[in-house]
Amino acid sequence: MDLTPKQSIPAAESTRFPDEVLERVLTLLKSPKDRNAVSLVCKDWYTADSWSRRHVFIGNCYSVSPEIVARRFPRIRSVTLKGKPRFSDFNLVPDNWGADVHSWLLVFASGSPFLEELRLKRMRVTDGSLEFLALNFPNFRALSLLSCDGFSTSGLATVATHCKNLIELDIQENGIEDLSGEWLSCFPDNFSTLEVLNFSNLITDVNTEVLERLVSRCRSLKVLKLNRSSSLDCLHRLLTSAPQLTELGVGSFSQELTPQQHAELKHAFGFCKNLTVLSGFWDATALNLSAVYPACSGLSFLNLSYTALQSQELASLLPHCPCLRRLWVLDSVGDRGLEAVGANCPSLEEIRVFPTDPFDEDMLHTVTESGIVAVSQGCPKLHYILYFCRQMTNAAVATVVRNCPDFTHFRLCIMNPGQPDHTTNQPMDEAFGAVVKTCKKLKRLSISGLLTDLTFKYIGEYAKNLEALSVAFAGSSDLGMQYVMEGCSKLKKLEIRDCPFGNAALLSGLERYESMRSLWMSACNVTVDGCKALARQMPRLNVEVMKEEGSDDCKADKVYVYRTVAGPRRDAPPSVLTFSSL
Amino acid sequence: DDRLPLPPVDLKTLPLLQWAAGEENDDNCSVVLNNRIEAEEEGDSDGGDGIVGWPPINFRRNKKQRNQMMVVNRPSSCSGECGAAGPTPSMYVKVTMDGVGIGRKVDLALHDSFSSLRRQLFAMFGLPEENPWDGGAGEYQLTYQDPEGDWLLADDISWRSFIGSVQRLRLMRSSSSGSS
Repeated sequence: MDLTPKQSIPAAESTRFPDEVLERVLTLLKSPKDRNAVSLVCKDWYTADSWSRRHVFIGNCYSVSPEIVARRFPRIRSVTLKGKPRFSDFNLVPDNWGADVHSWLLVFASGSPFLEELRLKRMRVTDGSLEFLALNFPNFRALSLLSCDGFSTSGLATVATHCKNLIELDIQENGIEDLSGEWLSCFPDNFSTLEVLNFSNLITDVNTEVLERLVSRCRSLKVLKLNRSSSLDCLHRLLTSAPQLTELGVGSFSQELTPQQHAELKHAFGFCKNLTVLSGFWDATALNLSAVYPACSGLSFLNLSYTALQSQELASLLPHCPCLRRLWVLDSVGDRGLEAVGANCPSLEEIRVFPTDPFDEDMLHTVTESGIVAVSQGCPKLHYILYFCRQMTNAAVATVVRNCPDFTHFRLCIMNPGQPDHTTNQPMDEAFGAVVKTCKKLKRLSISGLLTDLTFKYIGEYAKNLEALSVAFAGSSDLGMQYVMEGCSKLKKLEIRDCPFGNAALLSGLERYESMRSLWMSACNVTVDGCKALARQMPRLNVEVMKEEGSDDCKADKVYVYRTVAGPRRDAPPSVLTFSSL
Repeated sequence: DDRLPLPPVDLKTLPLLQWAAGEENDDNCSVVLNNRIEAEEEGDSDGGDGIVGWPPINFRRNKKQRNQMMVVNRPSSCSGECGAAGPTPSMYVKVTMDGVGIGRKVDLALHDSFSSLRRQLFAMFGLPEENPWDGGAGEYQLTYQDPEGDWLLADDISWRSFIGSVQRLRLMRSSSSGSS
């Protein structure tokens, strides 16, 4: 913000906008970072920001309490909350760990029941909470649940029944107890406000007639993501009645169609001129895929990560998507498929290659270093990569970043832990060295393969903009982690598993943790005493240790450290020890 | 006769496995699958070599990719009564046999019982028909990997449950010293 300095105006008469004007101006600032900066200018601006803030993003639900949030932002309308540590996605966090949303709902209901939007990630949400939400917030209109657990389709039913103004219902990758598809039928017959409906990860069938009537009523529907059990016939009818869709998730794509049915489906896709995002496609056959070609000309994001396409199928599809900027696929497409990506997607900015068989130990290589190099050669704008593979070389990674120096997110997972460069048998240190030296804008990095402390030395020395680092089975000594803690001053999130870092490494970050969101260390060499020492010295950190059954009393099996203004949490289960400075 | 009264048994009538896209699927099966997701204990999603939570794939994503609807989409020996022509999506899973370097792939969609699967596997790996393998007594045991990465014996499970959870197969050599 550029403030022109006032000249020769006495302090007492210095510019003082009426609060209402200041608040009005501030509402034009949307970004939380800008808002936070504004609130630090002076008390008046802090107050104006507090009264005018409508959206709050809380990256760690335990960093603050709902009471503090409600007190500071009395007119909040939209809340985004993230709960469990990210490694809970990989089963490393016990089920009863916490992050229950209910206490938040109770506080908001009493203080500011004008809540309209709730977006939760990795939180525990029960059906009771969903019912409470549906009944206590009359203006509620947008619910997004990503990687949450604890609820069932009954909870969705209460939301559908009672939220009269719902515009968004987005249910993704949750541990949901899927009892029936009845919830969809709970939307009232005159309900027509829906703009976003995503039930792609539910298994049970919904009533197709109910769905079709709902879609044709909701003229503002922009995003529709069907689940796997949705048939192609149903899809055909939906497309015909909702050509205004911008994002579409199709259901299973394996049904055998007669030539007529195929032509009709293709024709229906032709109506959808506004599609920018396509996903779904379970069990897609090559023939059926060709039905979507007419809708692909404006496509910017294609998510094929739920169907094991072969290279040729991908190669036939991509030429129809000239504007593609984001692509998610399974490694079944192979290096040949990735060559097709390089050849057909000059505007590509993001690629994610997921493993079809993550637990497969066969030596059959599906994507290798050649694939990633081929993509980098054809897609100079690439800045986001997530790549699961079973072999990699230092040279290939160096080539990739030479071709694409603008990486902001570089996540490489060589699936066999501690695997060296397969041509030279050397550690993969130089690969990640090349990444951090070349990609000055790098914000997120995930490393893998055989790695010594040298990798961390490179990271600490060069990755000055790094905000998130994920490490597994790497490093030789405490020095590794120390390099990172000393060098990466912008680091916000650090996740470490199975590395030889002990108390000295943990304590080397003493001064850093308060400016980070969180630290995770599991299966390292940290002890309970080390954690206690950290907690003693840093009162504004919560230091938590998750104990595993049968482990030594002194071992800190899993450590989770995060800054907080709310003090130690009181809802930790018995297996989680919380240490504080008290 | 002083027999104690039997405890009340909650008998649930399971819906028949229907073959028809769009009809109500076997809720019980999907509930079982999802309850397994719910009750998933720490450490279940480990890879073949036993590393918990590795590779770092969201365990819910991995489950969703495979086989969850395959149970519904199987004709499952309805022998012509299914009426409407329906797709028979293939269901290839990898098969390895202990002692054999190269793995094979078998399409489970072509089978509706363990005995027919056994016949094909024997033919594939060149085992003589008489090789006694039926759940423990023989030289090789059929094991399968479920969505959580655990290896289980394919002997006391129904074909339907097997199809719903099998990710890959392994013909495991039984312990040579005595029967297990």
